Amino acid sequence: MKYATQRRIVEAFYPIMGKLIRRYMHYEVESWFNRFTTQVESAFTWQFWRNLFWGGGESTTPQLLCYIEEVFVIAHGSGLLIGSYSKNNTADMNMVAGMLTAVKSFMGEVFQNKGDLNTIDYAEYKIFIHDNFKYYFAVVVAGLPNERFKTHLRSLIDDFAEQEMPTDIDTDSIDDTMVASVSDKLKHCFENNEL
Amino acid sequence: MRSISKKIILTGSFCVGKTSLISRFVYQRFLLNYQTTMGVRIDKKTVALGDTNLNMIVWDIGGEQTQVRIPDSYYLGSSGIIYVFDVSRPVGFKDIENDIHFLRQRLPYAPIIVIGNKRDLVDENHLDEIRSLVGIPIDFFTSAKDGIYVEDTFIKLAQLLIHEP
Ligand SMILES: Nc1nc2c(ncn2[C@@H]2O[C@H](COP(=O)(O)OP(=O)(O)O)[C@@H](O)[C@H]2O)c(=O)[nH]1
Ligand SMILES: [Mg+2]
Repeated sequence: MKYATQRRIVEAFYPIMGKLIRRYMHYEVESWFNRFTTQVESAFTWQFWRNLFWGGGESTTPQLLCYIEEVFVIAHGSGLLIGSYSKNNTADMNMVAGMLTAVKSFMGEVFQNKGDLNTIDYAEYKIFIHDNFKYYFAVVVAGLPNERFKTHLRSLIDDFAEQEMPTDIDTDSIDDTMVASVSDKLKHCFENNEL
Repeated sequence: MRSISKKIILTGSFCVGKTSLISRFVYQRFLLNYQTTMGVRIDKKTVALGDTNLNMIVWDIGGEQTQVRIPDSYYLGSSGIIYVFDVSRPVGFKDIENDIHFLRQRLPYAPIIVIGNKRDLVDENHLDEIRSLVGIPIDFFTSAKDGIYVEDTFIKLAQLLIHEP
């Protein structure tokens, strides 16, 4: 029942949030999103049609339904980047981390269900947000994630937090060594993990 | 070289030149046309100080908010503050002391740099008078338009952040 109410609220807020997010987006973030859009479009058109007509080796359509584009680990409050993984990174992850934090805190009143995966919708992307004590995960997913995907993602994140995250995170301890180490681990975890 | 990141915020009344100062510091340019900052905008500039690279993650808030109405998340986790007022608008001087007091309470450990911006709009001889009218120490009189003391402002804050972690 509670879940249904939550959903209705979220659905009601989607159009408004979409607008607000766009308003809050710095051009860096815009271009970050635009890049995805282009990639998915080209994937659908070029690869899709090529495979359809020439019978490509593997079927691309099922894979395209859903995949992880980027993973961020971000400090609460300051919005400082603790680590990130990206399939095709070009944007400045530090700035994107800050913007996500601003958007997230702005929407804090809408999302109150602690412990669950919250989502921000942007075009055909979903950004899953998962809060931990001092930091949060933001996972950008392209396509249409189903419940199985979400459950798997959730446990992947939980395991990562438990096994791979440093415990001594505060504003003064985040330096390039920590960022590089967490990013490496993220890459290892999310790159080699079929979802 | 070690590299660290810090969140920096700019505060001060509407239209004093916060966005222009960031634009000058980060992109070396000045836009005369006023563009209201929507929500929060974030920029980054890396400065090298000694053996440390400091990524200054600069938060800029828009709108006509007074300080108390600014969302709490804007202040959260900030390591340094640049407080800006407009030297060409004496009506605003009376708020400065209160604003600084509010900031000190809100972020007791974050260094605050106080700057009087738009110095190009007032006679240089008036700066001392402005100093005494304001009543609290002013670090720099800047001009985002002419690029005067803008770099110094950010570098001074960067130095305070690195030497006083
Ligand atoms: N003459 C002059 N105008 C400035 C200076 N800094 C900003 N401005 C102008 O003041 C207006 C407000 O600037 P803005 O940076 O948007 O203020 P904000 O609301 O504090 O972000 C704009 O029209 C700017 O062009 C300055 O140093 N000198
Ligand atoms: Mg502004």
